[in-house]
Amino acid sequence: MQTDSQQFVLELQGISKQYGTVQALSKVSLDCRAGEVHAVVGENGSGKSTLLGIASGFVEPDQGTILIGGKRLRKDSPALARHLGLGMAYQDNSQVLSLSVKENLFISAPPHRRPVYWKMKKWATDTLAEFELDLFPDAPTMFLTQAQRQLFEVVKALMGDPKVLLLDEPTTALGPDEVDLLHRTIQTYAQRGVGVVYVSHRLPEVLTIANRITVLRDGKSQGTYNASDMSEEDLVSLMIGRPFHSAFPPVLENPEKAESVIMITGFQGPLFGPINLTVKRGEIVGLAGAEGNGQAEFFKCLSGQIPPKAGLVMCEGKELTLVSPVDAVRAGILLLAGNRKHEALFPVLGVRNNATIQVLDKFSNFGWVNRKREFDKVTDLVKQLKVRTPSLEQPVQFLSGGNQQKVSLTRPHLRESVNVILAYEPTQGVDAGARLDIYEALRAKANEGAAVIVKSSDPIELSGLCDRVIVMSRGQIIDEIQRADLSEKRIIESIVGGIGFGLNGRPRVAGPRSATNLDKDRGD
Amino acid sequence: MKNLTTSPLLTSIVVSSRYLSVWIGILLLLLACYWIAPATLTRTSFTTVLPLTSFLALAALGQMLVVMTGGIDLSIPGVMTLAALVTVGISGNLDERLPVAIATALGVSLLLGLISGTLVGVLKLNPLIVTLAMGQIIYGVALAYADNVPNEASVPPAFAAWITAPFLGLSNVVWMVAIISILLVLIFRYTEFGRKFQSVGANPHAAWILGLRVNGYVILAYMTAYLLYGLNGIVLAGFLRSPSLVLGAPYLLGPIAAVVIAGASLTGGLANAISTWGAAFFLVLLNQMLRVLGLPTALQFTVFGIAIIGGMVISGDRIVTLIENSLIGISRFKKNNAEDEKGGVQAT
Repeated sequence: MQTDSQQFVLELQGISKQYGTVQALSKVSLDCRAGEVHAVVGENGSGKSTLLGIASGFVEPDQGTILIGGKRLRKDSPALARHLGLGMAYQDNSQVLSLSVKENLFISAPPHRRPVYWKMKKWATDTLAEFELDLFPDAPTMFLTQAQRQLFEVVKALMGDPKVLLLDEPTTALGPDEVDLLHRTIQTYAQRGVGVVYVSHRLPEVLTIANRITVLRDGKSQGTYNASDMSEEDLVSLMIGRPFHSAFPPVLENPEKAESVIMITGFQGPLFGPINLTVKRGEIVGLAGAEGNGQAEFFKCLSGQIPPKAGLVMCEGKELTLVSPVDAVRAGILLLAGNRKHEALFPVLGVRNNATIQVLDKFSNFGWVNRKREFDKVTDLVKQLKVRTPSLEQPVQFLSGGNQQKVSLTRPHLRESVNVILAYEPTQGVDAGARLDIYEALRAKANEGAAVIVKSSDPIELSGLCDRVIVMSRGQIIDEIQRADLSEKRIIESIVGGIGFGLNGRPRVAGPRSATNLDKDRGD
Repeated sequence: MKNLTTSPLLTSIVVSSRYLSVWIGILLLLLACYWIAPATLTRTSFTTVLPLTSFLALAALGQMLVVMTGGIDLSIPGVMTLAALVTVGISGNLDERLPVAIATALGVSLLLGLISGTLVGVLKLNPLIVTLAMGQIIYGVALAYADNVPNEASVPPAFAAWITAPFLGLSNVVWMVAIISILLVLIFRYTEFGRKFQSVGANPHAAWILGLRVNGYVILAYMTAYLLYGLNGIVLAGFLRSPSLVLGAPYLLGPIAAVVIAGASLTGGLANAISTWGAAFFLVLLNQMLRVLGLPTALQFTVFGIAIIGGMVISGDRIVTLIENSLIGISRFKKNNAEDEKGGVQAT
């Protein structure tokens, strides 16, 4: 029965899911045959992760049926889904970080595959060797690099002999060797009759590995296509749903003429450095790279959350001491944090309270807030940024992701003197409709004279929004792509092909500034 | 993508619902008193209910500040006892030494608040355990200090008289606490400081990233809270004239109960001083009613315990979530009806 290639190992029929006010998925259907690699592509917030969550029993759908290996998944239970033959590699990894590699492998294996307890190490070594994964079985999982964790996550998912394997963004932290390894593993299992659902941002990879591709946009399926009939351009236009140029605001006209506002030289911190970067007023610079290559730490150091180890940051000609967020904010460096609920917003407080928290002194006399002035200003801004909220007192926890991001964006718009905006994954969890508003809000602030640095894992977004994109690998800038050469394809080539990661490639400890790097920066 | 809370009116209902249950509770309790224990609602009864409400409310307002930073304060009895003893010990029955006594008691409270605040805010220790330990230490100090205070010592008579002296029909202490409650409401609603304090409580990590000096606000919360406890110890000493060593004991759980029933968010940020006062009134009135009904004093503990749990079940975050979910539920139903129309709009 397993050999029948037409047999569906996963069928999702008419799946709908609503989160609060957001329709995350609306009547999406997807099927995966045995032995097939079925890719799901879509922008941030298009519902890919929710769809996988529902298929794996992690999230309960509002409507729709899930069939795994022909049997219906009747309740939202990951254990039941696994029992029916589903393996899932989660994007934000599902390992117990305080346990070792072998223990994690042990608990993820089904009971009949587990060895007796004292033979665990030998068993783990053999299993890892089978997958060509060179990990030390006794190493605590928390010491693995992001790339190693991602590969290990797939191995864990395969432990249960699944009929269908779901991979949620399995390559975000991987270099070319590791991507090859993963794809070899996937193909081996597909030939054995396992169906693979492969969710990824990286279109070239998707086109290489997938048999069929389903495109999601804003929670709706845009159809399923044979990979051999599709090109990257076809996929991009299906994903963004309109001509590429109208999905983004116009870029900067004459970047050469602008004055530079922030100059970063020899900047070093945990997991990155030395970095040399100059950003001009009005410029939006994209920060690309495989996950876990120092981008997050770079942003944390620039926003004063982690004290940097070395280097010089000059903002408007003044040298900055970035030892606390207070210093960064005072210098006009504002962070749009990626984890909005924990790092940016006050979920229980209203829109007005969230918007003006940094600029209350502008509305107050001797510490007494003029609520009328505050109210009027925020009302204007809510209109300008198209924040959809019933009232200014609505707690932001009840707003959709896009509107939450717009509330964070009111903060730089309420200040006149913004020098740098650091936007970390600004459209994560944002629906397609709100995305353009957010790009426009960022561009508007850039046009007022701010320098914007956008860290994003979405190459389409970077290529459409930015004036220039820098690519980080192992904590260093390895490539810089100017506007003229900017394309989704070029960014991915640079991310994947820049510097080969070794299979055990850990981010290098920051060493002395190398002459070649300096030359390259000056050359631009 | 619209839900029913697109109306500003409904939004304000959802937002304020967390503070509503206490007033409904008071209303029900008054009705219950009227039916089964009318003696609770007499004028004589209220001459004890209102001062006791004020004492509980004053401690609860301090507790509220700590809860707004995401902590819970278990050191209230210690601080109150120490402040009361210091007032009695220094003033020693003499009216002219009263200002020095009050200033010293408040100063000591502030200093202790600074210590607790630093331990919680700067060293990031668990507030529950820090205040429990601080309460023990402070109570130990109070016991040691009590050896120097003669047994028959009491507060100066003029001060004792001032506490219960009526002004416009209510005693001074009732007015004092009412004014402090209103002041706190105004501070959180209208001042830059109060707004930032609230934000720090609602999400300290985000507040820190946005450039607020989070530690400072936490320390200040504990200092102000301890100041209020100290003040409470002083006025309670004045009310009791000769304070005992167990004066603070009922104020361990009472203020927590009041803050929770008042609808404060235990994760921090949201609280309302007036509804905290209302919750204190509720608890004292409930106690009074049970006494009028002739139930044993021991039942007080059980009642407080049940009141806290009941308060957590029906107020604060839970009720807001409940109301919001039911609204979203209705809107989802509406939306399914309007789905075709919406699809048409998006296609254009």
